[in-house]
Amino acid sequence: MDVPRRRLEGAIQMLYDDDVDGTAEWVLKQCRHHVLCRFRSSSSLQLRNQIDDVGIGRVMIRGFPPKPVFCAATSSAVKMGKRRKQRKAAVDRDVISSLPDEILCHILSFLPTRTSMATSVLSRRWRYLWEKVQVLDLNDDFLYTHDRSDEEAEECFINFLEKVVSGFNPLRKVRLSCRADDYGYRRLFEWIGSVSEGVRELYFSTRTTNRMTYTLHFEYIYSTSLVSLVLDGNINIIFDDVNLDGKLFLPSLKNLELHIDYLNLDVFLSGCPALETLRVTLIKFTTREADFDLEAIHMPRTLKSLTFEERYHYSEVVTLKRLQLDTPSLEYLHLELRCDYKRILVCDYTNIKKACLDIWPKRRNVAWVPKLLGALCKTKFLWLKVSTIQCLLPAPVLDIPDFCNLIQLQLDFEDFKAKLLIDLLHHCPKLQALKIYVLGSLDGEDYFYLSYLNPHKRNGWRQPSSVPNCIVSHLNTVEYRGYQNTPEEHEFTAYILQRGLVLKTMRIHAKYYCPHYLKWEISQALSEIQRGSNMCRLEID
Amino acid sequence: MGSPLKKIMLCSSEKEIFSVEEQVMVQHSVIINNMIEDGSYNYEESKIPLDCVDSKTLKKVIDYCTYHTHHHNDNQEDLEAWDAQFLNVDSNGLYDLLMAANYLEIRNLLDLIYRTIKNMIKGKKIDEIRRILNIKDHGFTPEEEEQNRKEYPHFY
Repeated sequence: MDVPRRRLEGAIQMLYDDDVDGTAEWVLKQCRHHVLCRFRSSSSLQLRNQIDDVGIGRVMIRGFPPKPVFCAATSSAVKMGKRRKQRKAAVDRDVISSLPDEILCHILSFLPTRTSMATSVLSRRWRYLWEKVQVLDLNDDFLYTHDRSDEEAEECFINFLEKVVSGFNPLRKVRLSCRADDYGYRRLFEWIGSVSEGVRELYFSTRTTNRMTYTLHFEYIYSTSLVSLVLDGNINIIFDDVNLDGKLFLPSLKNLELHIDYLNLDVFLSGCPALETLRVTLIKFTTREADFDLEAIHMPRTLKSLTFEERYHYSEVVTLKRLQLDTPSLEYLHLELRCDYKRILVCDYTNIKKACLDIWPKRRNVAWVPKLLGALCKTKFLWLKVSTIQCLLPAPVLDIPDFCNLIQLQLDFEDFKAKLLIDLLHHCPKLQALKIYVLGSLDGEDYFYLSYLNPHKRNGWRQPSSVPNCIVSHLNTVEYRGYQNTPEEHEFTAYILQRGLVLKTMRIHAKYYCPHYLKWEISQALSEIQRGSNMCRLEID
Repeated sequence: MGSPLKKIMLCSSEKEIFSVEEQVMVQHSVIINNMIEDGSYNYEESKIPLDCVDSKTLKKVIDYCTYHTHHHNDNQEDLEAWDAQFLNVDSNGLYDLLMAANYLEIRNLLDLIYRTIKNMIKGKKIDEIRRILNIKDHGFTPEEEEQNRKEYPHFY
């Protein structure tokens, strides 16, 4: 190998899988100054020893990062020099095409498969590149054209998929959106089953026009390699005739997102021991095909982020025995519960950052909702929706925990309750931002005038015996949406304006139907108040 | 991690020397971070030779790292607008940046460049992509080209 010394005094990138012929050693011997060497070698220790033997100054040995696709362009300093000369000779050259296959495939992998397919006719260089892309991202929309029947389109789609399987590339990521019908579905699911080996990410979305629900047998998603799974559409997942006794059928799965009709969630979760992110929307509880009692849901202990939404129809009365949220690593929690749970099991969430609770009031919540709040007391962001506040109100004595880390609090009220809010503020010593949203129990213009014209509406405001600490020391932003100018609201706002020593912004959005002259009145009334903080801006719209 | 005011020297292929806040490069470049961490960089004498990066490209790379170090709290839209402006270069410039980012292992910049190249291809007809990528000679025989156009008319 004839390498000009000058080049080697700079930096070199090298690509070696194995140093069988002593090339690495040879190169190292040529190096006089410090050199950046990169080897892809299983035995970097061995290389390190060689360098010590050679006795040169500063050499770094780095393994190649697995991602992003790296290097091949400059497999040696020699090549690199040549390449640069060539380029200078022809400034106008198609430099992007001269990138190595790995990089071009990596770029193509961001594109829908149809687009990456199109690049095959760009030039000879691009001809077979798309076949090496390990990502399949297909939407079958383009097949449904006027000159093709739906059956033909479906056939086309599935034939294409089957060609992909039998053909060129081991897939890493599969993303499918389709609207196949009954027969197509069976073949689709079979196809998914046949590629799932090796696939790390699977996204599958269906948009059938009829209201049929399709059954996905769990065998088709059994995979040891799957890290992320998203299923969206009218799908049933059925675990019939399978002995699942303790079987971990998705052992590597970290991210799971299910927006499907129906499944036995607990059975599914029991097979995912490594789950970190879970998003589930349950739309229906019962189906014609399968009907069974769901006894309990146990969330995996490994969860870091949980979004659990029950979107059952109001008419469905569902009682579950237990929801187990024994997930000590949890950082994000979004709960939208409609079921009447007999028991909810919580633990202390010491890592929690953000929590949003939308829990529909049921007889039994009164006891466990405050307990859940207690478990979430380390959170930085907390959002309690109307429903959740309705659960808290009936409690005879509300035992509010100390939210020692809370920075932002959002409360959605049906009717503004100053007492509850002040009680809460007493337990949030570091609160910086407060967002209030009042929906109004009898929403509408008529009611608005009624309450506005009736000054004798009960004023629930009682001057607090002591000022909550956060108002004096931390609270800098207050946003109030749905302001109706009731006496209680006015008193509360005035109180914050007077006592808020570090307040920077007080933003008031009146109800959308509030006429201009009333807004002007609100603004007059509030701007007269002596403010505790001289940098406080009052915005009203 | 060194103190924020420490400077390190980078040397381009034209042997021009650039002095950069250590923090800026350490945060973005895996390779420089490793160098500083394992002590192979000597603050008095060393300059890091980047023989495959020319001065113009190196200056841009440093601009990128500096901006993203000092503005990482900006809102996403502002950052994206800056990035778009930053990568408003011809394909040669993009290639040089890609090679530099690849070499220095600046992941964010690499991803940004990949996305930019992706957008050069996305949603465009073949003739347009050929013009953008500067593909003058596609290398197909006239018959093959004819065949492709017949087979995939919607791509053109």
